[in-house]
Amino acid sequence: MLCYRVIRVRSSELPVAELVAVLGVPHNPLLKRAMQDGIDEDLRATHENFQDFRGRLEDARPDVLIMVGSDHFRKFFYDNSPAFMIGKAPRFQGTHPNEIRTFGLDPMEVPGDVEMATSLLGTTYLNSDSIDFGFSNEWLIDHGWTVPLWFLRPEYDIPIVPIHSNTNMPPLPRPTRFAALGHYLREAVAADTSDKRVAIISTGHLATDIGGPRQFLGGDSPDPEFDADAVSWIASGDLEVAMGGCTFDRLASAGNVTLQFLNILVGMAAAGRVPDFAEGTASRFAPGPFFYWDMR
Amino acid sequence: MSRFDLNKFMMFVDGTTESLEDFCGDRVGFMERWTRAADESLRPVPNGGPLSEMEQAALIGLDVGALYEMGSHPYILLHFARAVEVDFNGIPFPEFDRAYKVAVTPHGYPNFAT
Repeated sequence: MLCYRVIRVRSSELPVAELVAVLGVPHNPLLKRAMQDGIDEDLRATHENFQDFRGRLEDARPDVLIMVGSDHFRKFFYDNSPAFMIGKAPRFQGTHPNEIRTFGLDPMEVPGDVEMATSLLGTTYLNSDSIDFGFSNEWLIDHGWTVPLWFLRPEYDIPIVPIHSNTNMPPLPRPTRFAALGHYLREAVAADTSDKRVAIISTGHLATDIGGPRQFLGGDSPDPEFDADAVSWIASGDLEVAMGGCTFDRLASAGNVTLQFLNILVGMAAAGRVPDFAEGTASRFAPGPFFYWDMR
Repeated sequence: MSRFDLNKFMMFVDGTTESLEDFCGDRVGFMERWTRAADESLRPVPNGGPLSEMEQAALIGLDVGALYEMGSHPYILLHFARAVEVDFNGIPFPEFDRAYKVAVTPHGYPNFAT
């Protein structure tokens, strides 16, 4: 039984924020260099999905993007690893020097939405009694945020609230906590006393091995059965089934960074229904997750 | 043996081009400075940490198979090795990837929890 609650009282006369879209997308940093000189056939579907989502997001006209992803040992390491953390800064820069060097990513800057971050966090006790958020007033974001933004909003003009989840350094929050985060975000947006239009972007992997024996299989998945199952879980809209499938051993056996699939549960829980688009998209890399919920 | 200290070393080297060039320019000297910092300071040691002789040898020699078997985080290990071999030494990525897989495959999936 999930337990989540937003401790705030609002008048029906006050404006409220509106959740207009929820997305689940990949953040493969190798896509940037692979696509910069044209779109090869084995990347066409990925490119088209990102272009489609970019258009859908533009149509949804969000004022703020709440972006749920996982830092890759850049901001958070084994000396300091929060379970869930909200970025609360007026602007965010990306990315780290090694990602510029190794992946060819460009430095970027995007405004942050301090008001929305504060609304999610609270100012005395945390507003959430389901998620014990940490927070950061200064955060150099990595490719987990910059790559989805590069594809979905390359103008970098919509303020973001980045949320980090620990999906890389076990022990991890349980799948129920990722679902609780999604529920909390939906409730918190509905309780926010602004008239902002909000989109939630969750980003993670399907079966993916990085640094293990099954990395870079030339377009093959390290675990096609997991990919099919994972997409069907999300497509069904049945959160209990999705959470039940996300045992640690099942995700880990599908590839050593497949645990980032847990972030997609956040989007699924926030949307609370069957997605309008659901696909595990094949490319020259491991298949990527593409999910879209139009919440308008 | 400490997986934390192994991962910390590799992340530090990969973290900036300056530290990568520092390590690649003199691996033994870099390691001496790293381990000396651990000897001279109480924790936390921002730019250093204790490493066993076996760990030091594997890091200096870029013995990917040994580092993987020790329980290095695979994401960190890959990017450390890639930084040295591809970014610094200029080895083509496909060639690096083949050698990397040959090194790690016999060891399956070691536990990398710290």
